[in-house]
Amino acid sequence: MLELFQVEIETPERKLFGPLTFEIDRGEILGLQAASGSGKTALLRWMLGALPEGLRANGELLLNSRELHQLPTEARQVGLLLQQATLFPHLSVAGNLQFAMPVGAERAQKIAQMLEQAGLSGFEQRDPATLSGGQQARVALLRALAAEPRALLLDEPFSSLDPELRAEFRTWVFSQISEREIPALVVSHDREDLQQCHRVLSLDGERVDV
Amino acid sequence: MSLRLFSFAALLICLALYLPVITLLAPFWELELVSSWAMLVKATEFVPALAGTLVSTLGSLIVALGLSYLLMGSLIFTSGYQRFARQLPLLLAVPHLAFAVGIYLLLSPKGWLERILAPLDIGIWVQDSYGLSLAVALGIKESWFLCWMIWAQLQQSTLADQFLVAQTQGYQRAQIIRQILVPQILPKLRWPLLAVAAYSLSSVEMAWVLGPTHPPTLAVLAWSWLLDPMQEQRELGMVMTLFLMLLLLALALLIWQLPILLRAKAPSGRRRLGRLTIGRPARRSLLVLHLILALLILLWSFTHSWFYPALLPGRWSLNAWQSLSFEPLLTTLSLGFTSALVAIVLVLLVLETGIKQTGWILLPLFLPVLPLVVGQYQFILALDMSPSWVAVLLAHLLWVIPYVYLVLKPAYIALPQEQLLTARTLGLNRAELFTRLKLPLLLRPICAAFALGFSVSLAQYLPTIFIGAGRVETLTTETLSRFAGGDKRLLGAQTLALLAVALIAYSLAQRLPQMVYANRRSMH
Repeated sequence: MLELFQVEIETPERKLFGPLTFEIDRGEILGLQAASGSGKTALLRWMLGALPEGLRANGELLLNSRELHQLPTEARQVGLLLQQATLFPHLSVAGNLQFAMPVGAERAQKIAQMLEQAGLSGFEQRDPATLSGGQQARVALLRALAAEPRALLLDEPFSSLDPELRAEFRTWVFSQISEREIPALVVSHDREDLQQCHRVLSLDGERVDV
Repeated sequence: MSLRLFSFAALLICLALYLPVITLLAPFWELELVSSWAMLVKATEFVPALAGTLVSTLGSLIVALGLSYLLMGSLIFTSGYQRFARQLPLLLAVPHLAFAVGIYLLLSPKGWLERILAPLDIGIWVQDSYGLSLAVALGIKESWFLCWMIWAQLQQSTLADQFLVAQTQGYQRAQIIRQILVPQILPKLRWPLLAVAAYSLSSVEMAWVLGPTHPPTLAVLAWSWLLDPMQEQRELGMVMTLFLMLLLLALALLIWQLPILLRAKAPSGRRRLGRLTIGRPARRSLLVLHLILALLILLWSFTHSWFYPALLPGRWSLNAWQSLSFEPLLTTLSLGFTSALVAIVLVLLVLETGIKQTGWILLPLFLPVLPLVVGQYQFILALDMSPSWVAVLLAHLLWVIPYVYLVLKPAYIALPQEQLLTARTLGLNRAELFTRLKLPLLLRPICAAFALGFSVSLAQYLPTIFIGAGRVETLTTETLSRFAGGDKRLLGAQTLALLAVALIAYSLAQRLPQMVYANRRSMH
């Protein structure tokens, strides 16, 4: 379970939001609805331990009862999926997945399995730049999941995709999250994205009916 | 005349100024290559000078690359990163010669460090025969340039997001830098590294102050041969100049292979500890070193007597300052101001042509200075121009223009297209768009380009002395004459004047956008 308690973020001039308290159960997908500039990306960065310079945050963050906010980003086991796929361009598709996976002997086999599940069989040696937007997005999610995160944050993950692909990819992403039973927080502007979440909150912690 | 016509006129002027680049090999056609090569190889100075040059050039590349890796590697995407990025232009503005003189005053026999360590009786030397001190000094100075280039790369890419994604996958800084950032940045650093190699290989002023002396580096040797009254020696100088170009070609091949040679192994998935924290103390130490060098230069400039092993001067005096001539200062200011301004106008107009292939403007940065100066000299002779301020100005432009381009091109490309389109829908024609929107939006990069262009002009030694035939004296040429004169007090005063002019020009250029746009926060 991912828990936020009394979180507030402020710039030197003003408070962006807070105090905000909510929790996300295992396998639950929580949508976060907020206007531009309200601080939702700052919230995600704070949850990752990478709050931009000039911002200040208070509050507590727990993942499976473990206090996170003192830990560095790399020790939090919280995965991230961004609007742009941000695949490492100097590595192949397999190289990107391999980068994220923990050490183990059967990595090649695992990669083949993951790619097959994502409909990308045989893409191991492909250059990420030659993939379509949808394919890049799939590899980015596979990479995020390959690191075996205990929670996943998604920052406008579907907004760079065209409408048809968007619905299909969203269904696939949400099914992957549910299968792994990890809590996920989705930040999105899109009404349809939010409708597919189990719950939707605003940045003042109020439940929103989408 | 329309703006388009002005733009193409600027392009033609640039091409005319670049004739020594286009006809780079022309001065060497008349050489009898076989016999000249034989003479060069037989020259007793050749082999030791080659060794000193290779050590100082390769050493400077290794030091510069290593330092920039450590500094940027430990600072990027931390709270100190933007502060360091803001310090870089200031560090870049410090003239190479002033830095070299500072190091000389610190490390030369009976220099400050030897005075501090006097009880230990450790001899500390510059001008070692292997060129090691020159390599380290060049490496430190050029590392700021590489850091600046890396910073520019980071601004233009998604590397910050990639860094964060890699962190969320459990990797620490050192591993992310090696596995994700270096493989992507290193290929883009090839050209800046080549510029560092070209500078290190052909630097005469730094090599003169800190490099080996018996024999000196190849560039200094070639330079002294080119100035020799005997025809035979001058021919040797020409062959040596050609040899320097071949050496640079070999270095270019090596640099192009670097990303392959330094390729990281495929990621094993193992998360290693490694925080890469050495960069922070390294940055502070280097900043302190710069301050110590400036302080030493200042102390010497006000010294009357300073006997060994005293740590401070025994008596103070203004004599060194009183003996300085005012004319080199005025010449330096007028050359720096005019060349930076002309270069900015030319580069902006060339960018306005809309021609995309303008990368050739950077070529002088990747070539040794000597053959270009020889080429310029041939053109000055062909034009029957006498050594004058104007001739030296034209010579300086060959190096000022590429640096100005380096700053202005990315800023010009990044101009907000939506705003330009909006302005056109409001009825602005091309010229109005340029003067009323592009120029104001570009004020900050223009000021940065001015500061850099000014400091590049200020630093020119070979073009000034060769094309000006010793009749055009600048702070840089005077500083080297004071160095040759051996009086550290005069050297201190002259170097401080050089340093002060560079830093004042930088500060003014830095402040101008803040003053003009005092109440426009995004324009600072």
